[in-house]
Amino acid sequence: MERRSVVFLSALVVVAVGALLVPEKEPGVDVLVVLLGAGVAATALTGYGGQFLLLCLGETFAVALGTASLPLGVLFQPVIAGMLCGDDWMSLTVGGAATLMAAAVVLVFPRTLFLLLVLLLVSAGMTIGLTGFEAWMRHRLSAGSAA
Amino acid sequence: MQATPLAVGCATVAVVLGVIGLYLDSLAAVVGMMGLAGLLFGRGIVFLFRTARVADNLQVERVVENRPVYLGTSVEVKIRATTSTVRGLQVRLTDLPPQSAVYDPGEAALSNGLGKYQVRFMTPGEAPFRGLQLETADGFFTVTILHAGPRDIGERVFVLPVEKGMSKPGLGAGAGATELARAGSPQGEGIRGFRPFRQGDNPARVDWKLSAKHGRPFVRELNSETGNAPLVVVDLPAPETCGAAAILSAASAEIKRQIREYGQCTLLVIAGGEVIAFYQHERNLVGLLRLLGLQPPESLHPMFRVKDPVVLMEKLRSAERELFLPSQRLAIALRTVLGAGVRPVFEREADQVLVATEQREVVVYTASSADTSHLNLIAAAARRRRRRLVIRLPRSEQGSMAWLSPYPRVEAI
Repeated sequence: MERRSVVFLSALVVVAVGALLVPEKEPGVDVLVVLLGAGVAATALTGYGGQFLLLCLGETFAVALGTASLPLGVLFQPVIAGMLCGDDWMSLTVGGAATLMAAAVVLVFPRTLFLLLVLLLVSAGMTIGLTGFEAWMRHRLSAGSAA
Repeated sequence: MQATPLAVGCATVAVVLGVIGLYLDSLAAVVGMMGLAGLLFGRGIVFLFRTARVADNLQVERVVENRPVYLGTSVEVKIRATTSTVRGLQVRLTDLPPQSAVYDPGEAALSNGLGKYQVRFMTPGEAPFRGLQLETADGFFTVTILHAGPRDIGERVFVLPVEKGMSKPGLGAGAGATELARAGSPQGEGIRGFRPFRQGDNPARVDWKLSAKHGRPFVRELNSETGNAPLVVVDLPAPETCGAAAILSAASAEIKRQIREYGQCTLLVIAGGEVIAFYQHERNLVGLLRLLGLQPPESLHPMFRVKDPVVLMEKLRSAERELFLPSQRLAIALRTVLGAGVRPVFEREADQVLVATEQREVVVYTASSADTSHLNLIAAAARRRRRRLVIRLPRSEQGSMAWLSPYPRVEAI
């Protein structure tokens, strides 16, 4: 078994056990966590369905975790990012850190509508920034000032 | 920057989680949405910075063999590109020869930073390389960038006009083929018809049964390898020209048809008496259609209403029959013009294109009505090279073609 899969499954088991140990949950959450956790583990081990199924099941599992305990749902986000990102450490680190920080904002401002509006504005800003950087890079390279 | 299916999937899941979070007021769903959005933006930033790093460290060394370079001859280009290696980022480099050159795009792609391919230069004069096409990709994004700095373009190649006697026997019209000093006629499967033997014809094509029957040699005319698809010539109209849209639409339809039926198209784009671009056996439909969207250059060289020599000869005969002094003066002027034998640059260029192509039919799409000089020159070149010529123009412009050469068949669109 790959080292990445071992780390992923270990993290999955830890957060699942953590969710089961949380007191005063809504009824049925334990069952959901166990079933979805088993599904995510099976998908990761067999590779069946590829990254898309892993992404969808992983996020559903994270929602179940978040329903039990919000910090557990936040902590599981970088694990999903780690499975989607490649093997290189730079992608893993940046992807995991960005995912964790973005998800942790929910713990600071626990208001749904506010968070959606903030995300909308941040998305617009990031899109403009990335597009502008790309256009600047294209212009620089085609104009020949890269050297 | 374009998203891969994985990035699109992440965005879709994020949107679905956002809708669920909003509808059910579930912070757990919002956590997932925020996490995925952060992942996408983080990866986007990393991807662009890595691409910029690769592009900045790119070093190109290009060598064009077989100097000096002559028009239509095949030369070998060796290229070596080095750049920084970034783990997790796939880099693909493709060399971009001059626009008018014929080459195999598959061969121009570099493998492990090295490339070697054949290219033929189809227009004389200075021919700068266009640089390198840099494609980078990771799991989430891809981008294609033109890298056209002075070091990527490299040393400029000067293409000399073809010299007599330098052509060697050879067949084909690919990048590695040798140019023949006569109209190309590739061997096809079918026979289109028969005609009397002319000097320079391949003796293997003589049809002995027909020759014996008529008492003189006849040769078979074969279907060309491209199924007799015509050479498409598009005369780019000025945007405000009447019928411009109809002409461009008809030309686009013809190019699409050829790509669909034959998998390739040979296209010559002109603007009045200027050759804008020439693509031979081009397979890239989008690239060809993009050429039709070009704006014709503003400073066109006027050709002072050039007439077809056939028309001038007819006028000369008519003037010589007259006894009046003005007619005699006109006859002297016409004899001087016909005897000068100076061919305009555009006619020579059109002639070279016809020599380089094997199509038996040339179809010109034009909305030009003010000056038909360039059409007359194409007609003269087509007649010299024994090609059938069809000129397609908007229905409204048919009346203004009084000075057009009598050689082509004129069709209204």
